[in-house]
Amino acid sequence: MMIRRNFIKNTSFALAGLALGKFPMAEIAKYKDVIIGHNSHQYKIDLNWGALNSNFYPVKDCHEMVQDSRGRIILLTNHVKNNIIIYSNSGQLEGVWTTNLPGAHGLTLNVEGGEDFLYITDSEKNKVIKTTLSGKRVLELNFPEGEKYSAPNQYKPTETAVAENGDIYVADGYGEQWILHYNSKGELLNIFGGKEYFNNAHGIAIDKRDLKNPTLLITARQQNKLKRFSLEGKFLSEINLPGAFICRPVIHEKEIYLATIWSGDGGEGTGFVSILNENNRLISAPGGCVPFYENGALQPMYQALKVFHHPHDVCVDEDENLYVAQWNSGATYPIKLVRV
Amino acid sequence: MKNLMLILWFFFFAFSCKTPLYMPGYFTKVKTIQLAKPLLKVDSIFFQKSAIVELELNHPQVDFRFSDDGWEVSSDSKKYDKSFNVSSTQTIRAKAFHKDFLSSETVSIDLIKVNSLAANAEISMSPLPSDSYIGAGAKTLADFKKGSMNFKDGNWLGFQSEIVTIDFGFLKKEKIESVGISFLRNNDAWIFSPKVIEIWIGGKMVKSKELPPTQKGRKASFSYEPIFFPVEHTDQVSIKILNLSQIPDWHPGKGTPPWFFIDEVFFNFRQ
Repeated sequence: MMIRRNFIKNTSFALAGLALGKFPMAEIAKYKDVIIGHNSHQYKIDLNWGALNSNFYPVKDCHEMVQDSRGRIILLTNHVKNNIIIYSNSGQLEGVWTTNLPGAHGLTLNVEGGEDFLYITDSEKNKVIKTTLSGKRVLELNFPEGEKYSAPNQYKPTETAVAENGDIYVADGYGEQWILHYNSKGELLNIFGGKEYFNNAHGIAIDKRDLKNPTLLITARQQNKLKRFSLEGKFLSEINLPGAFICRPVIHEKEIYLATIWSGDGGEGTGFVSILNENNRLISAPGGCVPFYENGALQPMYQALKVFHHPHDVCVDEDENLYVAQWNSGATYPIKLVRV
Repeated sequence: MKNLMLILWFFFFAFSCKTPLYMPGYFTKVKTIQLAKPLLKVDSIFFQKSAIVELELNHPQVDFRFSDDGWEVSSDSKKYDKSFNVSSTQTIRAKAFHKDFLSSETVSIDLIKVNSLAANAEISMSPLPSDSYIGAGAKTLADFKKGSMNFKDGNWLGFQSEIVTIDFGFLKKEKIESVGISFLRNNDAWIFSPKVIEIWIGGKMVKSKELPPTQKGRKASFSYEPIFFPVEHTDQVSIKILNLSQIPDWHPGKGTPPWFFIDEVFFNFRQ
């Protein structure tokens, strides 16, 4: 990994030297690559990595991305012509298919018995589906009629997380803010959370960094907080990220990556990416201001560079490059951030 | 031959899955990314003696330039080194600059000096604000605390009535020459500016001011409307705010009553 990062850094200088070698140093500096982020997590920006011919492969909102077991990057968009777009790691198109879900929003990949499965939420059709990588539906979780819900349109699921035992957790982030706990067969086991804890329970993930004690990390996006719950639904603690309207936690190695759709007072086009270390402290904010802690508390975050508009999800690959999908950003394709 | 090449070029791009001109490994260069707007912080937009202005954009090697003379900000404008005081009504404009990035958009703020009587006044409202947006009651209108864009911050009073009347009673008769009303426009939150503001003194309307209708697509903003009239010697002033009866047809909330949000009222008096 480090070798590849050094290669990127060094070849960029070498190529710049070849192309511009006869120019003075000041001229070379004018064409240098932008580097964003802070501390140990800094990146170059490849704005066109995921760009496709929109006549054939259109997108509306690019909601979420995951990497499959073969290293391919899978994008979920709410354009029903091709809800799923599969890229090679280098950004080449590998395939498309549709779920016909106009509100396709949350995308989670889980490996079960050696096979990759996708869990997709649709906040407009009020359901969660589980598919194979080729799009075959193998499970549907419809609106959970009962004590908490009386009509389908109260249930607008935004994200799923799957536990080691196959249990499925669904965050109803655009609906009633409940977290629904199912077993792998789709039988409802528990409902917890709700408006007492969440304003926009937008994303959910299972934090397995402490292998002996896995917990749920759930975003309260409008509250700029991550909330930790036990797998049984007991509230444990919270992480404050003032000014950061975080979408879903993506846990890779020891870090948590979060697309931050808005910042500051929540104005349009103010997004960036947040990266927390193993102690859950913000260490890098590509596109954002320098993270600053005072008396142990993170000071309010805001956008510093207009790289992103509305980042909605981050996918981290094996080289720790990032792929950023954006909501309501002019139907643009994902951006790649190459770690340096 | 040249034409054939052009045709082949066209077909290559028209039927390519990638967009034209994609260069793998080509990274965004300096001078192409814009800085975000700096934060322009003031201790109070409304002030009696002076206000403190501070600029912030926590990114290495950022410079700020600002103007206080009505001119647009350029790289030749005054350089900002540290927070400064403003002691008269004026507009502060500022931008961030950096050698590697495009300069930010301009951020601006209107700072308003007031010599208000309202803090000592007895204030009553009809109807009362909505229970959800009642702030600290009537005194919210005279506490010198500017509401933020978060209209739930407790510094705003929110009404959903076609007519809102606010009565001010002063301790003694004063020579009053203007009233200033600070309110919020935020179409996305169904908050609209009033149609008309009337000033009534001694049972007589001394001034009526019509406000331009809110246009579709207008960004959320603070508004301050000063209303001048011939000097009146009085201890009672009523402000009648006439709102739209319903939200315009171009808005998703069409046909329903709009909200009116007000945070401060000032009375400038002749000493």
